[in-house]
Amino acid sequence: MTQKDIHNQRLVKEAQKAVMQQHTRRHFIKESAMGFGALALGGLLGGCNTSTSPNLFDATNPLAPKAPPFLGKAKSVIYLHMAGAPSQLEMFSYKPELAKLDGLDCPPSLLNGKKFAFIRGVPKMLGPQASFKQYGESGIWLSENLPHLSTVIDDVAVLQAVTTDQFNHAPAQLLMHTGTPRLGRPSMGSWVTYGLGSENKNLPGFVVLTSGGNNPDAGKSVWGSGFLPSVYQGVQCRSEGDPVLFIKDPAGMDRDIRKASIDAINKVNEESYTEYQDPETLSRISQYELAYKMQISVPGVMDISTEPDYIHEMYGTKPGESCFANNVLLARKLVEKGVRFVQLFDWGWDTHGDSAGNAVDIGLKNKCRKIDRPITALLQDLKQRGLLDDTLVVWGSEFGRTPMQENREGKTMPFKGRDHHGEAFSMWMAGGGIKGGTTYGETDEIGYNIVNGKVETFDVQATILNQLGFDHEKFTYESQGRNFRLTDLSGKVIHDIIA
Amino acid sequence: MMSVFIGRFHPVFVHLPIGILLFAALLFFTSKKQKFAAVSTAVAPALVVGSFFSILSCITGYLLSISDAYNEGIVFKHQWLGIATAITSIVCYIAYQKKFKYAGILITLLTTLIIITGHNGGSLTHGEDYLTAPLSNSKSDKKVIANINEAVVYKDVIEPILAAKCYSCHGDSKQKGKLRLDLPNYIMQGGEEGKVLTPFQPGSSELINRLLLPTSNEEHMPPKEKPQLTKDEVALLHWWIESGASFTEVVKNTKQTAAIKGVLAAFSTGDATAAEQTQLPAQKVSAISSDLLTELNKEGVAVVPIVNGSNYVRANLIGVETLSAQTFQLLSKISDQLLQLNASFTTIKDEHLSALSNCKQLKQLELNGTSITNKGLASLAALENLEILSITQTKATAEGISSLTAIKNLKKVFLYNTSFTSAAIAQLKQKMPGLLIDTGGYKLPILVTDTTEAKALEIKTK
Repeated sequence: MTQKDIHNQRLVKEAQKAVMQQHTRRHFIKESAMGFGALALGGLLGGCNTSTSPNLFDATNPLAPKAPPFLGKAKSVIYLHMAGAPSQLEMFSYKPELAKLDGLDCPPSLLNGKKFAFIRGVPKMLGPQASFKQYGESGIWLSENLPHLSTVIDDVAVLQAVTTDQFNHAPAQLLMHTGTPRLGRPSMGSWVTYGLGSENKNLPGFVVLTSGGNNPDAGKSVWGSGFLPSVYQGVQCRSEGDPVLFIKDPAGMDRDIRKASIDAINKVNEESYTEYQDPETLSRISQYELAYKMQISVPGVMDISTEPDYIHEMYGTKPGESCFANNVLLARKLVEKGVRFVQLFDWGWDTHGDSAGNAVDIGLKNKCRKIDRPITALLQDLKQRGLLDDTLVVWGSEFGRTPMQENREGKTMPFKGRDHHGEAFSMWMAGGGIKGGTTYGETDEIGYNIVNGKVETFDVQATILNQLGFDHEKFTYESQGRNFRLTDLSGKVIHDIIA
Repeated sequence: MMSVFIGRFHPVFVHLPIGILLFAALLFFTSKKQKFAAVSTAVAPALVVGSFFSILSCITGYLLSISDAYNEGIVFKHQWLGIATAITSIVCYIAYQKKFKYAGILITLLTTLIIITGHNGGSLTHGEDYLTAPLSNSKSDKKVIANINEAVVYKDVIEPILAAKCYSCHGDSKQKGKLRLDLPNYIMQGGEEGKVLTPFQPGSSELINRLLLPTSNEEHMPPKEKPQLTKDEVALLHWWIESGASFTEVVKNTKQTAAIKGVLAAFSTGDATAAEQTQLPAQKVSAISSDLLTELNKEGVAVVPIVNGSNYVRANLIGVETLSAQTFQLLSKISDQLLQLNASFTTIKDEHLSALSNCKQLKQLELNGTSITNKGLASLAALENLEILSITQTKATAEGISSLTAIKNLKKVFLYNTSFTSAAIAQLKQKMPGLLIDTGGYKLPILVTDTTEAKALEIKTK
């Protein structure tokens, strides 16, 4: 370093010192005034989230039953999700005008600016592949694919204009169940068990059952707990074989040895807790205890073979098989025993028309056949047990299907199928304080766009939470410095379908 | 007719002087500051243009007021305040041009006048409480009627609908088509096109017909940009006229279809907040002591407040490992607070039920799938507030009827899979006509479609 460099360095240091010395307290306060003002203003105006819920998580007993913020009508929820997106045009949405357009080229006005999952170029319109009739005192139109449901339609409120902005299965399923199309948020069932706990300490509060041969496309994240404590995630049970994997004691280990080993583990955990005071340790202890109790209680409640024959006939169940009907019957049994949220996923509704099983006039009919009877039986069975008033039943999917016939890669498909359609599709709710025999929302004469009564996925979530006694805007959980809600920043309760 | 046409331009012109004169005031006061002195040149032209349009507004306003029926009191105030505003604006202009010392005070007065006159005008078109309505708690407006059967049809059911959806144009402040719907004699008198309702004949009552017209029709009421009546509200009006459009009749003396019954039932529940008011007993109770709660929890009883902050609770016995007299002794200690009890699928026995007889507040009791018999039911007679009773899959039989009829407030009973005979059910229905009885045993027919699988008709080739 030359003499000059040293000299320069000294000059720089002196200049910095001079600046700092001139920067007096007066300067500091003057410059901070704006910041103080803004802080004060923030305090005066209050945040946009002035009322948030306190953290309800109690590590020693995370599933203890809790009171809802206001008096809800429903105590539990059975959510039936048809993964793959059933066609509303062959089930709930009666569109006689579309029949007249069958086979004609789709007008450009419906295609301009739209993006489809598979449709390319100009597709042909596809008329309804099922006949419709009016049913019940309410005169709700239903297709021939739902002959049983038509007998209880006066208990059901149909949402005809549900919409989503996602047109691929996984993100759309996540949006419907977690409030965002991306991974990482808690699912609806997790929120509900976090908020209400469970009245039955021997069973999980949130149970998931899947059928149709596959899990939903979004995977287990649709029943994940996200940033909520992991004890609130859905417990997936199987309707075939052991309901929960490894629920049986291994050969050679009897109940007493199991109890002794769990006691020993818990003792070590308790010692660890006295030393480190980590609440998660208490949570772990209670989980071991729940698991031990579940070994007895779960096989009992998950065994449908003890149900009388007329119940099996009613639901169309076959003990030992893995099917939607069995899951529906299980859902009733679980709710009867105090499980808070039962989530069913039935896979195989993605009727693109690429095979007979995926055709709206063949495969869809068979799928409807498999759900129509058990779902109707569920509503009737809940009703006769006095449970329908307290149990909210929701049926839906992640989106609907186009009034146009799919032409994958611009080619004619071997069977009649429809592409993904998020703009407008149908869902329904029943029980749990829902006004039966109502329809809400209307789509245009071909079921393409919404005319009125638009329902967003957030509105569905807001309504479900409302029926359980939550204000969706105030039901929050703090994570990473921000309060989160299931409905994010949207959601309106659909008051028109509430009794 | 020309005057009416010109009068209807009032809403177009009226906003010009408001904006221009307020802007003139703004310019005037900012020009006082040295930095903005340049804008002072704009004050005079703004005052001139504003005064011109305020005079025009006065003229059109007068023509409008004589062509349609408005609340005379407010019209009088609005008219004279409007004229005062116009005159003041001219005075302001002159004072400003003459560099009058107190022009500032005059302009302040003008601003005040504009605000008051504007508010009066708003009250005329939108109704007097339009501005303040969002501030008043709208939820409490929705009235809950505890006992709908004793309610007066007109006063409790019909009047609130008319008040919410019709009064703003056919009430005290405005009488479009010379029709007022805010008092019985006005309703019967009708408007300039004659009577609006014929008792017993909703079909020939203009009041109903106008509601049922498609919204695209010009005659449809309320006008399509105003809040519409819900289907239920139209149904209620229809029902009121059908039963004679009486102003004094009570609900229970009218004929009600199933649909109307449903709509009326909603009155007694209302929305969520309303539901709380009716479902929770009015009297306050003390909280359950934490010692007692700990004891109950240790026993395996899940006790949870009905709603956050309430001392009334719901209890579930499903987690109790061995149900004993001890459990019920503990439960009887919370008898004042216990509103709902779920003992389904437990080992509860008849003798345990007698321990519940002091739970006077109990509203809902679930005993599904238990071994209770008629003997146990007999001890429920004392539960005077019990509304919902589920005894499905139990050993209760037809002889249990007398026990059920003893429960005075019972509204719903679930008897699926019990030995109640159909004769017994008929008898129960006769004795308690308001009681909803569900005996279950629903069956689904076996349909051809249940067993046949849809198959592709022909083998398709690409």
